Formats: sequence, C-alpha cells, structure tokens
Amino acid sequence: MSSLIGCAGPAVPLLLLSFGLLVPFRGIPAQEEPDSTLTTIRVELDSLIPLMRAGKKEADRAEWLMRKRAMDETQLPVDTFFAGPFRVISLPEQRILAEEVFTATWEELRPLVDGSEELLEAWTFLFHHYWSRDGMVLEGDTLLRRVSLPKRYPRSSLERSATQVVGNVLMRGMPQDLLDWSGGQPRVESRRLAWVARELVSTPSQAVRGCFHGDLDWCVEAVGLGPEGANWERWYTPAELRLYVRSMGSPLLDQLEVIWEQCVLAEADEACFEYLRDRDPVIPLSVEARASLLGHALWTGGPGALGRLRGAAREPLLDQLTAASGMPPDSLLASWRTSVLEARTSAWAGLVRSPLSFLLWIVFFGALAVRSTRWRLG
Amino acid sequence: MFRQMLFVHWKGVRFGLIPFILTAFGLPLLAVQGVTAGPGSPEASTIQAARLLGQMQQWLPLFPLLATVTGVTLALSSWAWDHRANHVYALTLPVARWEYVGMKMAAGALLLLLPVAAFWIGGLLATSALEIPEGLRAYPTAVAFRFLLSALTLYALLFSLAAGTLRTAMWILGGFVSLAVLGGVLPEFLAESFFPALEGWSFLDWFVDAILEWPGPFEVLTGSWMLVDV
Repeated sequence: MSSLIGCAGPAVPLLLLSFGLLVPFRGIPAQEEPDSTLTTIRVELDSLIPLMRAGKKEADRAEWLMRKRAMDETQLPVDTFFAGPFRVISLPEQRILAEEVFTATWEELRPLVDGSEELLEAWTFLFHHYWSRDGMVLEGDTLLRRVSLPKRYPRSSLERSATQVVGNVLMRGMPQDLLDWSGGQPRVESRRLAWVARELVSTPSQAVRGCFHGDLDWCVEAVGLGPEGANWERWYTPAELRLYVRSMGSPLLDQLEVIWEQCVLAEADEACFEYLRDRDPVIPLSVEARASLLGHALWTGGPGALGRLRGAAREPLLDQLTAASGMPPDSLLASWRTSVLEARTSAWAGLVRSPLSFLLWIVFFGALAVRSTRWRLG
Repeated sequence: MFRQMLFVHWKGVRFGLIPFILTAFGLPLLAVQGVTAGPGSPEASTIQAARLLGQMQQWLPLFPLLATVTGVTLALSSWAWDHRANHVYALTLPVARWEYVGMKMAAGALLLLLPVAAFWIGGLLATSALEIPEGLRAYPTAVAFRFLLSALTLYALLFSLAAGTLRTAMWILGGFVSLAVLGGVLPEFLAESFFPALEGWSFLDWFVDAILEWPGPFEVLTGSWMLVDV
C-alpha cells in the first residue's frame, strides 16, 4: 500500500497537472456542438440589450438634465416680437434696436417681398449685438437665422447684415442656376445701379456695347441669357478677347505661354480662341449687374413676384425672370436698361443744395472766429 | 484796409501757395494722362472708357485731399502775423472786431480762388485734350465748383480754430477726443442701466453721419469727384 502510495506520490501531482491541462480541452465536446453554445451566448447577450438601452437612456436623460440645468442658470431672458413680417428674438434691452434694424430691412426689401410674406413665416431671426457671445444659444430651432455682430460694428453694419440674412432666406430653395447666375441676392439700391451704368459704358464686350445702344437682343447676351448659351466669340470681338487674355496674365506652362504670346503680342486671333477654348466663357456683365436685373424683375413684378419666381423654378432663367416680372423679356430688359441709365450719377448732384448750408456754415465759423478768446481777453 | 490785409496775407503765404496752385493745375492732367483714343473702332472706345474710369478711380482721393490741404494752409497762414505780434496791432486798428475778422476771412477766401482757378483750368485742359468715349461725360466745372466749396469749408473751420490761442485749440481738440472716447463707452453704460433706447447708438457714428450728410459742413467732400463719368 505504502509502495503504492509511494508510487502514487509523484503520480498525484501528474494526474492533477494532466487534469489541469485537460480542462481547457473540455470544450472539445462543445466544438462538436458549436451552434448550440453560440446560440446560448447570443441569447444571453441579446437579453442584456434592453437593459443596456434602458441604462443608456437613463444616462442620456441625466446628462441632458445636467446640461439644461447649467443652461437655465446662464441663459439670458429673451423677447420674441414681430418687426414687419419678421419674427425676431433679441435680448430685452436690444429690442428697440432690433426693431429699428428689421424695420429698415423691411423697408428696403419690401418691393421684393410684397405679397410673398408667407415665405418668411416659418423663420425666426435671432438678433444679437454683443461684446461677448455668451448666453445666446438657442437649440432645437432649425429655421433660425442670426443677425449677430460684435458691438464695435455700427448700426449700418447690422442693417446690412439683416438685409443679407433675410435675402438669403428669401432665395433659399431657388434653383441653383439662378443662385449662381445672380450671386444669390437680388439688388435694388440705386447706388449699385450707378455702378451698373458705368459697367454698361465701359465693359469691353460687343454684347454690352450693343445693350448700351439699346439693342435688347444684346442685353440678353450681356447678362448671359442668350439663346445660344455661353459663347466667347459671340460676346467678345477678337480685340476684346485679346484684352481679356492679356488681363489674365502670362501663364506658367510653356505651351500655354507660347499661345498667350501669339494672342497678346503677335495679335493672332486664332491663338486667343485657342487659349480660351477650355475655359468657361465669362458673362460680360458682372454678377452685381445680373443681381440688379433680378431685383428689377421682382420690383416691377409687384405683389407675389417672389412666389411667381419660385413657381417657375423649372423654367430657363430668362423665363423665370419674366414670370417674376409679369412682363415679356423685351419689356423687362428695356425697363431695366432705362432704370440703369437713369441711375447715372451726375457730378452736379448735391452741389445745387450745398451752397445754402455751405453759406450758413461759413457764417457760423466766421462768428466763432469773432468770439475768439484773444479778442475777448484783449 | 481790405487791400492791405489781402497784400499782407499774400506776402505771407505766396511761397506756400505756389506749390498748391501748380498741383491743382497738374492733378487733373495727371488723372487722365496716357488714356489715348484708340484707332476709332467701337471696341477701342469702350476699352478707353474702361481705362479712363479705372484711372480716375485711382486719382480720385487726391482731389478732396488737395482741397482740404489748400484750405487748411490758407487758414493757418491768415492769423500767422497776428499771433506773432500778439494781436496788439489788430487791436489798435479803428475797426470793429467782426469787421476785422470779416476782412481777414474774405482776403483768405479770395486767395483761395487762385488754386481753385488753376484746378478749373487744369480740368478744362485735361478734358478738352481727351476724346471722351461714348457714354461718358466730362465734368471739369462741377468738380472745380466742388473743389471751391470743399476748400472754403475747411478754410472757414480752421480759420475759426486758428483765431484763438493755442490753448483754446487744444481745449477744443481735447474736448472732441474726450467726447469720442466717452461717446463710445457712455451710451453703452447708459443703455444697460437707464436708457435702453441708447442700445446700439454710437456717438462717433452719429457725429460722422452728421458732418458728412446734408446739411453737415463736409457733405460737399463726399460727392462725386469724377472728372469724367457716365
């Protein structure tokens, strides 16, 4: 027995070791039935998912409550009010300023918006004139637009910003080709029309020149809405193309440089066409001029013009403009051209009324000189 | 007496005034230099119009600047002799103060006509030498008239400032700077505490608008100075 025991002495640990080594291989039977074990594990894991979701929901809710409490502690009270058709949110102490800014914006945009106010109904405008942005965080309102500038900017900048923001809202949803063509904003200010008048006289393009002379077919071409589409050769004469190529400057690529020199220096027309062949033709009148045509179409169209413009979104650009204006294309372009030429500034403007105020100021300054300390002391 | 005052002023300022007369004459000519008419084709005319307007834009700021500097120079020089003699001579003259100041002011204004006339003649020469492209018009007389009004306004303002002592001038300038600084801070403070209507109101903005828009004194400086325009 003892011998047995003696023999068994080293065998017991070996047996235990073997058993220990075999334990990991106890999975062999499971490998023989893998599907059932995996299914069991999957079921067990799946049973945990609702628990995990419930836990995450609770954690999210707790975090949201913490954030809300933190926001409520720092949130500033705001006023919501209407200025014209605009729903505006501002700090109570900025309400008067916000009302004045949005009223000025309404007066400026009214000719364009009249009859289409419903386009603004869904929108809220957040007005903030700040030293620091803190406290004006509004969450969850997707139809919110900001007129938000630091206080170092004057009121005129606020009005420009408001006009820009409202203009963007009005043009939202318009077809991309109209936005690209007009720069995204209709223009009606006479100050800008005066610049368009200068363009009409001085843009080196036969289309613009023809428009200035009153040929309405050329006016259509000058704003890039001609029936033949974009076309270097139709819009510009060879001399004008050469000027255009010269203004682009000498290219860096050797091959192009040779063509550029042939066009600009040797005055070879074919070289100019070749140089510009792969480039998109540049519409002769600038985006400002085109935006003024869009603004004019909306302005002459009267009430509902913006809605009609939206309604014609699938039509070609010229048809969209005529739909908005309610005029045939020729009449629209003729009245736009007339308004541009009428907006030309005269160097005499303001000089006629100036002399009266001028004389008063001279007398005032002269009177100040008589009241000088020197004399009074003397 | 007016002739004597005119002569005294002329004598004091003539060497300072001559450069302004020459500049006033030459500036309009420089503004259109090099803009020559093309071979007579329509596109050449348009290209010339583009160059002319572009060049005018570059030279444009110098016109009101010259009017300002000319007016200021004449105003400061008009009181130079009085300051040098501590106003004693002027006080011994048998004329009322307002009469003396009026004559002195008129003498300076009359001298101001020299650079203005030079500017007008320069403008007329510059525009007559040009072949004005179709669609553009020349405004030498209007711009010269604007030059006259601008220079006279600046002259009158500086004339009244220079009439006082240096201390008075410093008080006025200091007062203005203080107003500008306080005007930026006070309305904000008042808007937050007592008068919400002042929110967004800026003294400097208001002041600049008031002097640059009609009937402000410097409205004339802000108009069109284009010698050739649409």
